[in-house]
Amino acid sequence: MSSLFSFVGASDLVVVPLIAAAACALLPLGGLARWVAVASGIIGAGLAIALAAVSPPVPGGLHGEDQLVWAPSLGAGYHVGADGFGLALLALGGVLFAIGALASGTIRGRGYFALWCALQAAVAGVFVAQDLLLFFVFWEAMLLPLALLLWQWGGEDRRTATLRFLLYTMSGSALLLAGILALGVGARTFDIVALQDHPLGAGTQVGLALLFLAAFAVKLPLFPFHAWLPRIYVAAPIPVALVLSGIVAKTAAYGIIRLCVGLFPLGMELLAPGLVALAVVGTLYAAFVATQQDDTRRLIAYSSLSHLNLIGLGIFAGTAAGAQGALVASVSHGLIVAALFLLAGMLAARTGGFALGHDRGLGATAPVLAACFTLAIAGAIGVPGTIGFAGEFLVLAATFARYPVAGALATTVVVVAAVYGLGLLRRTFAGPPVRRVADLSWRERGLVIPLLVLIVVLGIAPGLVSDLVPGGGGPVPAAEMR
Amino acid sequence: MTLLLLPLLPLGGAVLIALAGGRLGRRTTGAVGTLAIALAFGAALSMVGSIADRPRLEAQLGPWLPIPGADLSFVLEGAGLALALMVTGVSALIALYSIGYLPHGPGAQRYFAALDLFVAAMLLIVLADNLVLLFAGWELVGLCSYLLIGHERERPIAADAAVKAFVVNRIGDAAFLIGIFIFAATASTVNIGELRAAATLHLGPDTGTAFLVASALLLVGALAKSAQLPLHVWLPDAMEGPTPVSALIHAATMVTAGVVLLIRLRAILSPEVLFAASVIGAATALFAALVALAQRDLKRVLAWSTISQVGLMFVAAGLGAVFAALFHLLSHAFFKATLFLGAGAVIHATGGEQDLARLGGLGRRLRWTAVTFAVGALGLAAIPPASGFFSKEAIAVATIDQPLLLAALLLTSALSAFYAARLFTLVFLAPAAAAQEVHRPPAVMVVPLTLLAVLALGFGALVSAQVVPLGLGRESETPEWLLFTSGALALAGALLGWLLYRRGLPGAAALERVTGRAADGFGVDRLYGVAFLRPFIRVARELDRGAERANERVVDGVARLVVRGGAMVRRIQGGPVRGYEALLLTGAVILLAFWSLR
Repeated sequence: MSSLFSFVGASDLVVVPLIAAAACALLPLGGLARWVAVASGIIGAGLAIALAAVSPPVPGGLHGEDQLVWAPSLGAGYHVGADGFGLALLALGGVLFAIGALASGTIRGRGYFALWCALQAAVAGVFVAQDLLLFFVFWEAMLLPLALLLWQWGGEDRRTATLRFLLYTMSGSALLLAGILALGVGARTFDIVALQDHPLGAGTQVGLALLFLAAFAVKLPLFPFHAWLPRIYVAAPIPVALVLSGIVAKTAAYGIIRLCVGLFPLGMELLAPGLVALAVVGTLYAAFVATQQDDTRRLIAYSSLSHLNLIGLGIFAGTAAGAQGALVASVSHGLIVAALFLLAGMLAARTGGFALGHDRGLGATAPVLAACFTLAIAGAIGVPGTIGFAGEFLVLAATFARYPVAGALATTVVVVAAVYGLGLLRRTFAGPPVRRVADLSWRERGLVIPLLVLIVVLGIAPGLVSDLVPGGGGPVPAAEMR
Repeated sequence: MTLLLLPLLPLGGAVLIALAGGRLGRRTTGAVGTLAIALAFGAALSMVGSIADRPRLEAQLGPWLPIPGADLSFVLEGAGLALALMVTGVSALIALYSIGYLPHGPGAQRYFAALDLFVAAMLLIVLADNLVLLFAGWELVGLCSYLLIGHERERPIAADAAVKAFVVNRIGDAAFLIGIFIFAATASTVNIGELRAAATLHLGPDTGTAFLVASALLLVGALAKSAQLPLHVWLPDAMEGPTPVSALIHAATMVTAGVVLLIRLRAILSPEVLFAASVIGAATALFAALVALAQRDLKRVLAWSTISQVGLMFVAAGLGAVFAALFHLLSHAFFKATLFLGAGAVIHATGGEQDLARLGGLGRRLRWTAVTFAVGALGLAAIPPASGFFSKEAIAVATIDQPLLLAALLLTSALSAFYAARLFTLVFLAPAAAAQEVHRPPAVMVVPLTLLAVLALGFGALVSAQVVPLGLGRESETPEWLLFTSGALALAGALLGWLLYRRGLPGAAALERVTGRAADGFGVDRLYGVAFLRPFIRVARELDRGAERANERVVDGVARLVVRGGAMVRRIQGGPVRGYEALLLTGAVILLAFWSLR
């Protein structure tokens, strides 16, 4: 098995979508461009799964590692490879980019799909980069296609929303760059693997961790650095919102775990109490705000924010179990938020908008839409049997093991989540049927049902995801696990 | 292997119906749904022999969550088989009945899929070998009740009741989750068998405290699921679901889950918490019986009676009388299912009438329904020879050292007999208020009703005579004076109810005026509205309108400043300089500051 895929390298994960992007941009593909983008996503997911099947040469090492030193004096080089956390997210990303491209049917144009594939390449780059400068290049490279997609194909408020998003994330990036330079110049290497053995004092670790966190806290986003989020979700076209929330946000989760926890374990340990507190507040805060929304996308946005803060909580708990929970929660959130955005789009296509009415009664004429929405919401509010439960449970259990009060407080979010989740279903599908709408077409079912199947299958077998990273029966600090 | 079939058969039925049901038609869907549960019943029946040889059967499906003990594995021990037989048997009959009861329309697919999933979830609670898998069943039962209570989703009131049921249950679930976390953190396992071993070892005082807190949290979960004070508020509203669903929730699944939990975990839960369960159960039993007296809706009388009867089971389970708790759970399942399916037959026959003031005189026109309902009412009233009599005796004897609990139990018995008689009299014996057209129930409804009535009548005597074993040993025999006292109380209560309401005596009208004050459940719902619901909404709105807007304004303000600053830089440099570079500058400043500090 392992020799079968040994020709696959981590670089391919970036190269394939880059070729697809170039093909879309340069060749007169017409309608075929969409299928190129779909193929690029599927191949990306396939490559990630193939890489996961090949065990790294050293236990706990990187999958598909590839190294090329080009500036030894600087200590900078081309070094790629993926750890278990990255691989799971790469596979998730492939799936979401493929489904997002499929769902982009009404948005014509090769330019769109060229940018789409470029975004996929940049996101993949973040997950495989093992050199800090390379990481930063990919990190910034995500912004350009994303901003153009939003700017060009977004809704009403797109210009303001995009500008705010750019300014906000770039201020984070600036601090990240500062941190990277400070660390790399001091240590005379930018190689992430080599830096893990570089000794740093506690104070330095705290300072650097904060600089790195600035970028990640905005991108995830972590409460209270989320002011860009609801507006972007509303302004973005549905497929862009889908990948933005489903996978682009996960680059931040990956960044925190790979860079902040990986390089500054002591600093993160010192910062943990504050960060855990912030994440707990964010989880609850976003859930409360979600109950007050009158727009489907805004409701999904805040629900998403709540889950993203929960992912942060798992990482900040600082144990292997917490990181494992954060990974499952990341995959879970990606699949569920994608399903929710697709369904919200399908709903809007029928009712003419995203406004949440009252007693819409759509369940009577669109039972399949109602059933799919119900399953997706069940995942979002963490009903067992869905991966939503697995992620939430693992994160909360790991948090509780180290920070009982914070863990217990965060657990109460399940009640608030039930309020906003069932509220959405209640307002949309219950009540006397006011008007007749068409049920989901076969094309629409083809888009959303694969996601729902994954949500349930991974809910029953979360080991497929969680086994990619070392877990821990008890509270073992992630730093020691390394 | 057979053990795995128990949860998997109904689960398979649910998946099959969900995927293909739309093309099957109502009757076929119903037949598939019923068959899946009936097969599970058969599987349980086939294990009666093997459980006699080996008192503990285990089966594993595979690993689940990366937490020690949290696997997809099952265990059958103690009360498990009796519970599994009851859950599958009663549910299969309810499913069969539903085929006749459900109106024609496309809803059958949703209905039977949720029903089968409901049974599978309940079997998880009965059979899971660890707390996390048990919790999965626990939550799925909540989800299914949400789906089924809100089945008629075109009725806003049903949709609201469904949401309320789920949210109130979620409060209990949150507590349950934290309880699991405590067990996992202190004992490093969630396996029930290993936890039992850990609890019997006398670990340090810290572990004792941790187990105490965890036990209390699990009890909160049990109170919500079993609709006990103060988390009972969802159950009366759950009456908005179709009547067979009520039968399912009240008899075979859902509300008994809390009792199942107490029975299964009695060696793990702290004694203090178990005693608290008894006290809460007694208070709930009395409270709900008083409220049941005042109900004017056929199904609401039954709903409050369930809360009251489950309270009695809590009394027994909390005192460690698990045999009595299990016995009453089973006999209650039979007579309550009989009552609800009988109520369904009445509602079906009268075209949807469930107001006690307008019902009446159905005894002659629905003779067989009246007979079966009478059997159920005898069980509720605990009058011999109905099953309810024997099982309630078993609970009474358990409370014999706790005079207050015994008094509450006896008082509840008398009240139950009274309102059972009132209910039966008003529906079947009192003169009809209006001439009604009556449809006779079809055979598919009559057969399950009859079978359940037979069980409600004979089960108690069979268990009492030790013909049918329950898998648990009986605690002690009932002293004769107690047998006599409680029997007499029940008879007196029933007689009084019958006398008062048969002819609408003036005493009845006066009594209704007094009890009417309790009709809304002593205003607990309104209290919750003021104490919890409104503050919740106020906080959420304050966060949305206040904090969220303020946060956005701050960022907007900063963004405007940066854009303005960028414009200034552009004027100086004359190039396309963006805010980005201004920010990079900021970063560099910080970098310098950082280095200078080193």
